[in-house]
Amino acid sequence: MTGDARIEVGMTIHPLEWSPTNVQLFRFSGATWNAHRIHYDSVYAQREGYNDVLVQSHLHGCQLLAALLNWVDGRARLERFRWQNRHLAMVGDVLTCTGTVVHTDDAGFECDLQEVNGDGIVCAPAWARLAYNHV
Amino acid sequence: MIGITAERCIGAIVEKEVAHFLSAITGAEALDRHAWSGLYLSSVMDWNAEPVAESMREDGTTESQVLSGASLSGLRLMGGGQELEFHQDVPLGEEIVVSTQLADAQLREASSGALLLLTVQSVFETSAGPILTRRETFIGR
Repeated sequence: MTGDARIEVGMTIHPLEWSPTNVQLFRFSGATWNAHRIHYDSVYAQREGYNDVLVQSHLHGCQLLAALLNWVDGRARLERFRWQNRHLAMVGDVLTCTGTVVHTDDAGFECDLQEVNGDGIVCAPAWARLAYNHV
Repeated sequence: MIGITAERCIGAIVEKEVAHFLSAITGAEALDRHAWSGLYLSSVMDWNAEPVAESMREDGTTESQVLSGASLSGLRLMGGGQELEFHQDVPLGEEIVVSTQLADAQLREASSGALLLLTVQSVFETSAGPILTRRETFIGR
């Protein structure tokens, strides 16, 4: 979204594709003081039945928000945001965050968002409400 | 435990913390400090500054990471999601108090076995009022 482009229902945000790495998950755990070994200890993760360490639930939300805010480009202010951790993701997965405007009014707009893995499985559905920044 | 509120001061947020947090998120731009400061506040799992190695479980989690005072020993916890309401900008350098309560606890049967669903509500505020309301779910098995 650029300049004074009008937000309309049906508009889609630019997809954000990302592939988690061990280093990224380690850094995110460090930044959020999350010592849960499932996110940085591959041996522990495999012992728990996973091929590798898992993406933090909060990071799913953050990636969805990154996609949305990049598209918004400072033109609106986040009021509400919700997301669900529905399917696990791990190092090496290719995840794509997309979204669609589903409601507009004089004050702002709402988007449905989702993060999908390479198999088309929804890892994290989300929704956001933003208020226009009036200049 | 349900409905009982615990309140604690978590100190002040500084710009560098938010910058470190952003650097671990693919594609995140620092343009929207309002949103990202709020996301940072809602994503930190533990505000304890003291070394708490002795209180850590074998999986690396601590008691205070979900709900201070709740005994969750033996439970494997995973994050289920969040509902966030952003009231005002997170003021950097200003002390923040968080009030937390266990809003709901439900035991459900799934194909993989029994699941404990915990809903925790937290309100972060400064002397100027609420900054962020967070409703977060955890799945225990």
